[in-house]
Amino acid sequence: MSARSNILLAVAAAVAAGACGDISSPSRSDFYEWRAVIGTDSLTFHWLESSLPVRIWVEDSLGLSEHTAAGIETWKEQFLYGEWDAVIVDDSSTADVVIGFSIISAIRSVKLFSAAPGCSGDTSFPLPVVNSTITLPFRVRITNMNPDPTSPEAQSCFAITVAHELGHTIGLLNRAHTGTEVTDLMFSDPVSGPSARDRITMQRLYHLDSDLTASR
Amino acid sequence: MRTTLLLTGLLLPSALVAQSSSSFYAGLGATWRSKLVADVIVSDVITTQPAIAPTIMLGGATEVFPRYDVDIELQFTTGSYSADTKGKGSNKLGTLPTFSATIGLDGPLFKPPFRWRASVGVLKYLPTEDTGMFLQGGPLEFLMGLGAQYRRPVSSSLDLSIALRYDFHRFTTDELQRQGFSQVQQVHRVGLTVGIAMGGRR
Repeated sequence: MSARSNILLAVAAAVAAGACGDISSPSRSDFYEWRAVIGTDSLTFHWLESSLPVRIWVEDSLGLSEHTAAGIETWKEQFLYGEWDAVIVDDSSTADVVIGFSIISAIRSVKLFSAAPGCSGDTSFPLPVVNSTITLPFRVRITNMNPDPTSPEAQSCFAITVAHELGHTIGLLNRAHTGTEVTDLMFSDPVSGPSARDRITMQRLYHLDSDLTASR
Repeated sequence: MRTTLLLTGLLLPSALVAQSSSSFYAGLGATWRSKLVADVIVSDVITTQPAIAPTIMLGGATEVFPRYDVDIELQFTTGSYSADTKGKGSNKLGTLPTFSATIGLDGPLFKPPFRWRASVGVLKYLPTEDTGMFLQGGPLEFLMGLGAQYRRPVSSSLDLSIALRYDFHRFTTDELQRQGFSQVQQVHRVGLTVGIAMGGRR
């Protein structure tokens, strides 16, 4: 065999030796309950690709706009394949989600509460009755309980509460926050996050069939 | 960083071709890349697949043995990539340029004007957006490759050059590792470029 053939064979063998193998997916087994309990039904909701990006209007007060923008980025970062996206819009009448201090809850609604230290939040949407459709918008109300709403403590509370409530509007609709732990952003009294469990739950949710749809 | 690499790519071959035993070649073409990630979430099988990418290649070679050359080759590709969910469609994730620099050894293949090339080098992923699996940026990976080149004179000083390249590298990202992915994905690339060559063996 010639020297040239030897070189070619050696290179081909080296290439072939390293050319097999695939990356391995994580198990994603550590998740919590995400479904909305409506009556006796446990229902899954997530935004369909055709609904993206979700349009969010936010009251321009006490830093809520900045906290909402940060919350959107936080949740986008939990996805690997662009399953969810959102933008802030100027017109509340066309928004899919409205966020503010003066938002009035929907009548006959499903309400999801949270209470971080110093403020609280709730997300509401009308009870889906016709064809399992949620009538938009989701309404997110932030309630300040700090005497100085501009203080770092209050701002920190607004930031985590907005991110938590955004999690509800994305599809983590379990009212009791069942299965969440204190390290999860979707814990009932959130103090940190998102955690790996938040990420895994959200990723799984977006690869299940949605029982509920959303429309105006 | 990109400017420095491009300048190096432009100046180095020029320096090589100044020597009589050196040659310079450049080409345009396309590169096919195999999947970057195969993932399963619940029952969805998701494949992250780059599209065929337009490619620019620059190279310079110099003779080191009577029949063999050593060369440096720079390659820039840019194309979209998408997440394809089996049975559910595709979601475009953005644009994923890559830059590679390789050092190669080339020699005669069958008979002139065909030549083979074996190479090692590095490949840098340069995603236009730091999102998804590239949330913490694009990785720098080692590269090994094989190739073949065909040169045919078209004028007294210029040759038509057709280059076929195959290479592979092991792919993962910091974000994939943070999310619990293990092992690495072997990524194969096959590229074909057509261009010009000057100097060196004819």
